[in-house]
Amino acid sequence: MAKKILFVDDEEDIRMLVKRLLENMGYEVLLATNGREALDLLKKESVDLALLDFFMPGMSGRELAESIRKEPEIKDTKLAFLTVAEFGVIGKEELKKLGILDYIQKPFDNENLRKRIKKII
Amino acid sequence: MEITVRETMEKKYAEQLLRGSEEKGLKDSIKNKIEREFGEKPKDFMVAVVTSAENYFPTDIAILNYLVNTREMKGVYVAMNKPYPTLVKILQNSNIDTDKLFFIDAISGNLGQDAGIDNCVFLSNPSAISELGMTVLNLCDEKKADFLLLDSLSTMIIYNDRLDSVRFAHYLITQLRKYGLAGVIMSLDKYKDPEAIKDISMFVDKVIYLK
Repeated sequence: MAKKILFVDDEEDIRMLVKRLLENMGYEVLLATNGREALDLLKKESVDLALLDFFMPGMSGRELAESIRKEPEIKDTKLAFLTVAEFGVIGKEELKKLGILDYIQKPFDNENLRKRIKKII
Repeated sequence: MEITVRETMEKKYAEQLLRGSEEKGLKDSIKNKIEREFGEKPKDFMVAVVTSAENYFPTDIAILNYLVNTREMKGVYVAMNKPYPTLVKILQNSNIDTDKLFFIDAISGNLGQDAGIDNCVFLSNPSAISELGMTVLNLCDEKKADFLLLDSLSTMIIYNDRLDSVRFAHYLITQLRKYGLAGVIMSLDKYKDPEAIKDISMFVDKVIYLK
């Protein structure tokens, strides 16, 4: 059975592109446009990985990750960022505290994306 | 009666002196904290400074005093709170060497370079984030500075939405790092916009809280 990835990004073009790429890699892909939608989806569907954008209106990727970690039924979800963000010293510590397994920077190389996701799931 | 009046006046004078020394004590304590925090940092540090409204300006001055006067660094000052003419006077009165600063005035609303002022660029308005980004990039290219101070993230959020402000601050930090400049992102007390500060904290090396 194909592994399932939830991808959360407010930009439609990015969502469509990443969905296509991940499906070509053999994953089943669910999409969410924002943090609230992502939380609702995660409570209904079990995923192998939630791949989050950082910069999203309303709830940022960081807030979403914090919210996920606070919800008992989804707190152990594997998380990674797919983002333009570059993190400083504090950011990297915060990523560890939130249990973010990786962050892949946009613009990304397809092969690099494939390898990094394979490493996680 | 005479003694009572004198005692009252002496008491008032003593109270004034005490208030003055408390203020001075407060300023010294901000100055000491800034020197201690910034003193440990390498040349290309990136910090966010979060302070209360009442300590905001003394903190701003203490940072400039340390970077410009003590470490003799040249800086770019992004002014979103006070217009250039007012700001320069205040800084000069606080003994900050303004010859070492280049200003980006985002608040006066005079587009382009004013013919009489060669150390300030005026943006069209505080929402002109793209203009601000281009201006900073040009200044980095021209190697005009060793650091940039953004005064302030809180004011930027008043004129732009939180996402755009955080995105812009992140862009700024990334560019500064590429050019090897140090950065200081000023922000008001965390209770004003805690989520924006938490997000920004992920891009800097340290958050300095001064209550």
